[in-house]
Amino acid sequence: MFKKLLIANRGEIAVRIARGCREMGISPVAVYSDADRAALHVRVADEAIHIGPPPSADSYLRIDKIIDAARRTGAEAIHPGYGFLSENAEFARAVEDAGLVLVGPPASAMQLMGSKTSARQAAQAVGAPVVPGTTEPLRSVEEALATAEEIGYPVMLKAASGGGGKGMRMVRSRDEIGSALALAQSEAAASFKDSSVYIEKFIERPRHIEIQLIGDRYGNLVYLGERECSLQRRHQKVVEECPSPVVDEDLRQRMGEAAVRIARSAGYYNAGTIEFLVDPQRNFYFLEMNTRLQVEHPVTELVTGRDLVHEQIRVAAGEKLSFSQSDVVLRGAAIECRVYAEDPHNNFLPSPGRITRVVTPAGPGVRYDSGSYSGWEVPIYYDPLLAKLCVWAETRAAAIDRLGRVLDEYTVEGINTTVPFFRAVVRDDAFRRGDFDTGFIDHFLKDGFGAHDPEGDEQARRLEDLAVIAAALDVRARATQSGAAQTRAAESRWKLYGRLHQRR
Amino acid sequence: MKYEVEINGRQVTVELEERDGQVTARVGGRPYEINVARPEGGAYLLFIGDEVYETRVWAEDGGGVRVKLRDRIFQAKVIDRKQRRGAADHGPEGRQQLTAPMPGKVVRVLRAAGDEVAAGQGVVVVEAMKMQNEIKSSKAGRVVEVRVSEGATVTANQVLAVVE
Repeated sequence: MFKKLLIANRGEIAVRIARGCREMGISPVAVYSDADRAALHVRVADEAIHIGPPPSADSYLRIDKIIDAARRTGAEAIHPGYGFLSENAEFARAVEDAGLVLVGPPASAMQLMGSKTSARQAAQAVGAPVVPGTTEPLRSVEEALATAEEIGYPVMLKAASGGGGKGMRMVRSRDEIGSALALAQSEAAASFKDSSVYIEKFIERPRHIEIQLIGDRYGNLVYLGERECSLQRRHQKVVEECPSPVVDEDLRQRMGEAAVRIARSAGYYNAGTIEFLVDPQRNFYFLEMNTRLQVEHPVTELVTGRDLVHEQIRVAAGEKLSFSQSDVVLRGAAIECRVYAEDPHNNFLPSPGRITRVVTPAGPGVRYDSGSYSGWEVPIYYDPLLAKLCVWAETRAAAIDRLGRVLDEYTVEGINTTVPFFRAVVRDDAFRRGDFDTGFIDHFLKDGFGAHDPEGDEQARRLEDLAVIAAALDVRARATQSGAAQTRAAESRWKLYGRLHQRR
Repeated sequence: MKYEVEINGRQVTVELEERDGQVTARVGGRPYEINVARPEGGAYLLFIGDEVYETRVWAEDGGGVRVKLRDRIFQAKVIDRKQRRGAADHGPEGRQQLTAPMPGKVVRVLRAAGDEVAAGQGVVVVEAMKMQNEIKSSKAGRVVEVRVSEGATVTANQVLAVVE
């Protein structure tokens, strides 16, 4: 087993991987930009290497600096986390060339599955259903228009190297396509250093359901159930659960086996995820493969009882997978909320700034993965994900009730977060019934979340009155403090005045 | 003591007397007898009869506060009278300042000074936290001034352009 592992990432995922390392007796090495010198992922490491100024292109995306950092510290392996270089085949190759081990798939499989267009071809080759669209990157607006006419609106524009909703635009009519293509290409270039964009038919009312895979270098490849990721905003997942409320044992097995076939054909090993769209008739279509650990991996860990980071590191070190397909059992239900530094009451505008205090929830069935702390200044340069809040319970209904309790315990002071939005989601009837698709959040927001008051007028009025009283008490407390400070300042000014007069 | 408090956009008057942690208050005429404990900074524990409510209060930019109470978060502002007289100093009618909604970087300037813009058309693109946001003109008019260039770092509420 490795003695030392470098984590080429930041934020909550770097902290989560460092925890996995500690549990396995491996010493974690952090890398950081100027903006992250006092970040939590640095605080939990044994060694930390500075890799440049705040912009990602100058730090977390610098392959040379990260390889140097590994060499300098003597780390034997590199875990890329998600985002940044995690799906960059050039990086995977550089790691291999440097004689280091990447905790991830081989560069060849990453290259094949990392390009959405060649991944589609691979899926088609093993007979997995795919969504109609192009397999080549678009060269011009004219080409985009022609393809869109052929497959019919609405269409999706997607970054070939993309993920996480960056470089992605839905287009409903021909006059939107020019500006959407320009924005998608420029976001793709900024986020992935690759401006290639392709086009795909937009499936109406789809659910987004993905299969978690893990495999070793000896051809063992298993699926660990599915994750329901339909709750998205701007194509970015915000709530994920395992299992999906619409997937039964039969569908799970069919999707799982299709996913294994696709990954096997690419010579894939380590952790990966195959994303599918599932339509209202429960037909599934291959969407893409994520050749890395996912943000939402904790819900799978909670329901399967498997530690994906441990398993990833073990198979990277050349060990065999510690379990087989028949050992995988789903137990209970887990839900994750991605807590972002965004203001849900103001169109989800980014809300960077200093966190003055955090009250973290605890108690039964809670898992909290965070990259932030009280006093941390959330930088403007990176993804606004602050923390992931997960719950587990015996059933989906119990998990939702638990999530409600946990969200009420959780407070982040100083900046805006999406927590109030999740409080409204867990109280929503359609969500509780499991009746939703990827358009749910948009409809939910249009209806004005939190506008309805479940407790009735009298109790609502009482709570508002008490909030007014608390605000007034707080203003009094502050006035008393600053009054005392002013008195001191006034005294010293009198002294100064006295001294000036004495000198005359 | 008497305060005017703006809460979630509504305004109420609160009268409040406190002696040794015993608070007598009237909010919009409704009376409350409350015993207050302060377990830690910014936390106020309100006892009313046998009921207990934990509230947390923290300051926001712009002089307001947030109050968390059970499953709710309120936005409140305690207004003092002097402040109220000086407020509401809006710019000239018909002139619109486009401001950055958050700190970030200008990645593109879509319109130059002198250009016509339609309502809802983008003028500047600001990127923060990897998301590009088009800052749009809310009305049709002419761009009279663009105060930033591509690559510039901007702060929240900084004026980016002026449309007339």
